[in-house]
Amino acid sequence: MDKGDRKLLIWWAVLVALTLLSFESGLQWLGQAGAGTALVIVIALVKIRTVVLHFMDVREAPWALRAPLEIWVIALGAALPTLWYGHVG
Amino acid sequence: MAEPRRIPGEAGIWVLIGGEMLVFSLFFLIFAYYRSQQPEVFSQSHLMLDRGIGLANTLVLLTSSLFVALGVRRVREGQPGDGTFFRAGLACGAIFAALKAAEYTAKFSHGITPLTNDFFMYYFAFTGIHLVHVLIGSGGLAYLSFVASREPSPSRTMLAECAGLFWHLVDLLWIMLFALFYLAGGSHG
Repeated sequence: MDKGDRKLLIWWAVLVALTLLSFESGLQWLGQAGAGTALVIVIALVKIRTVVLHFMDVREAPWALRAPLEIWVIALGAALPTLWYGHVG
Repeated sequence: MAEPRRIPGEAGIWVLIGGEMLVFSLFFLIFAYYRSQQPEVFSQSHLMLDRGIGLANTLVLLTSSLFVALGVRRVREGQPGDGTFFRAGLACGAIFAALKAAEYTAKFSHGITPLTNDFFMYYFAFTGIHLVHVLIGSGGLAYLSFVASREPSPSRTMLAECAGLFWHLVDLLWIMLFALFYLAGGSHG
């Protein structure tokens, strides 16, 4: 196992930790059980960005590819909680 | 001097990935909108999902993504591969599909169908479409497990990168489906 493999293993461990953190018991441990949905969505988007950058190797890609993906993550982060809490429509 | 930035896979796979991400983001937004319109129905229905199976499937897909990334790395670097990492990823895909089938069967046996309410209509539709992607991606991994044992070549690398990217797409779409259907609302709905 070389340095590149170890990096992938570390990012996988980060993703597993974030998954457990976004579970109810994880949110309680954070003292954020009440924050609920918004925090769950933000953690999911952080996980998605981690997969995109480190498993799909977009961190090494030209900005013409990376920028739309970063914008997609930010746009969902703004739109999903807004729609969920019914501030639109 | 820094290495020039490169596009993983080829441009065509990114057009496909971009299209899939746009379609699924529409699914996510539709779900969030209708949740705000019917909070009681959605929160009660959300509590009827098996969060343990959802968590297990998330961990299975994350682990499959690790295996696939490790396999693609070996192919890209021209290392002699035997396809073990791709077969491990494929096994994870099979576990995911089996757990999903068990989950659907349990729901049907309790009389819960896509016609039960809007929550379950979206649940079966969106997770079903995602499951089709898992099956397509599994086909790619099965093919890769053979291709990996071939002599290193640019076409072998391109195939591995493209199939790997599609598999990571399957993983990242599930991350949001898991958050919206299983987690958002917590254990109180």
